[in-house]
Amino acid sequence: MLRIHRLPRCLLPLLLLAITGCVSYQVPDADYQPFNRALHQHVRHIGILTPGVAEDLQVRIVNPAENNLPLLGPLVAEGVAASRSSRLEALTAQQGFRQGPTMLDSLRKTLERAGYTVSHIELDRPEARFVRRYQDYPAVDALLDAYGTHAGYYAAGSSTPFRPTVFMGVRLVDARTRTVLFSDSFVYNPIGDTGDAITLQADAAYAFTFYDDLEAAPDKAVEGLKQGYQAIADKLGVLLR
Amino acid sequence: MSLRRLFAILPLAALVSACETLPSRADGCLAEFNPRGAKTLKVNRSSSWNLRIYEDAPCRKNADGSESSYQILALDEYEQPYYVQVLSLTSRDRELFAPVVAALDADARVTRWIPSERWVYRGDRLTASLFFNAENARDRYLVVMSNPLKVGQTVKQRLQEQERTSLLIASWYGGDDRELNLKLTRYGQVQLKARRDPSVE
Repeated sequence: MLRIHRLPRCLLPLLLLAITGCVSYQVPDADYQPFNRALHQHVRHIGILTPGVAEDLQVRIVNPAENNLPLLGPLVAEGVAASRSSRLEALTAQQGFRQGPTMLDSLRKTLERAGYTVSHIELDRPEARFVRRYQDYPAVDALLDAYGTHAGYYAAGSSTPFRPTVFMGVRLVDARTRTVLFSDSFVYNPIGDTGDAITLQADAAYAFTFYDDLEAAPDKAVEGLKQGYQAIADKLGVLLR
Repeated sequence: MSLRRLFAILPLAALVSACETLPSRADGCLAEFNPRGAKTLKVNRSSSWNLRIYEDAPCRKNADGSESSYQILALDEYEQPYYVQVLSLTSRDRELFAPVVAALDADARVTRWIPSERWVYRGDRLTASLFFNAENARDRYLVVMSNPLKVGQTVKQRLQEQERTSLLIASWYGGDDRELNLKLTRYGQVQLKARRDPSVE
């Protein structure tokens, strides 16, 4: 009999995947808190904490046809996805693209356009989630804490196009009192149940019918991802005005 | 009058009184909002408030000659800052109420409204929030009305979903883009949540 408790822990997700063929996409865990701008007018200087990034860029078919083959099918699909994902990560890296700095750049531009003075506060994040305990940063009025759970190119099924996808959670915290002033989650190119997250439609100009098309145009792939980050940042900018 | 007779008459009287006081479409389309008989939107209730704006809802004639259907709620007595989150819900027919949400003073005149750019989609729901702070003490009512500039427009929302095809005992799972063509309408259902602002506690 299979003794599950003797299996290495890292194999358990693969075993579950092989049995169920299910992959869930985690929406950032951000309770809804709109920003009461009129009451927090002291917030003029925002420090953006180095954004958190959950994982490398992914190229995924959310419901691949292979999942219909029991046991081996999902594992094959997972192998294909892993191979494509690492290829996309390498191709976009050649274009000088990195998720964290792109996220930071988009947020900085947006907040400056919204009239805030913006600084970058370097932070080492061991995991992609909101910061557990905020340090003292007396130079700023509020801290912008953002992290992403998924990013890359996702397709709904084996015969639907790959579209740029970004999941992001954002919080604005009072630097002095640590009170959460704003909190929400954003999904660019919604996949499955996105709960209460703000959903933004992916730009049709960056949809790729086949994976090969995506690989053949890494500059366009990078541009599509940048558009995703910027679309989220732009919406955030409106909500923080 | 005996107590028994009084209890028998009371519900009927209440019904007649409600019919007389609540504004409706039957009053005609007026240039002013009519807050008569508005129910009070309580703050910080754990439950949400469902507002139905259908053919019998009161009507407002706008300055440009267009018409809007609306419902008005009286605001709770102000104690501390709070916000009202408005969620316009998609019906089974894929129709979505096209909302304008505004605060009104005691004379039912608009003091401010939620700007259009602040509305966001959360899946197939259209949502926004309006804050009430001490400086908004003039606000007495909240009106949710249809936006004549948006009514009739179609909004595309695409969701990526798992789909299942069944044939006898076997099932085939795949994924597809579910294109939702949401028609913005004059009538529909809106959910309201009034919550204290925890950022000032």
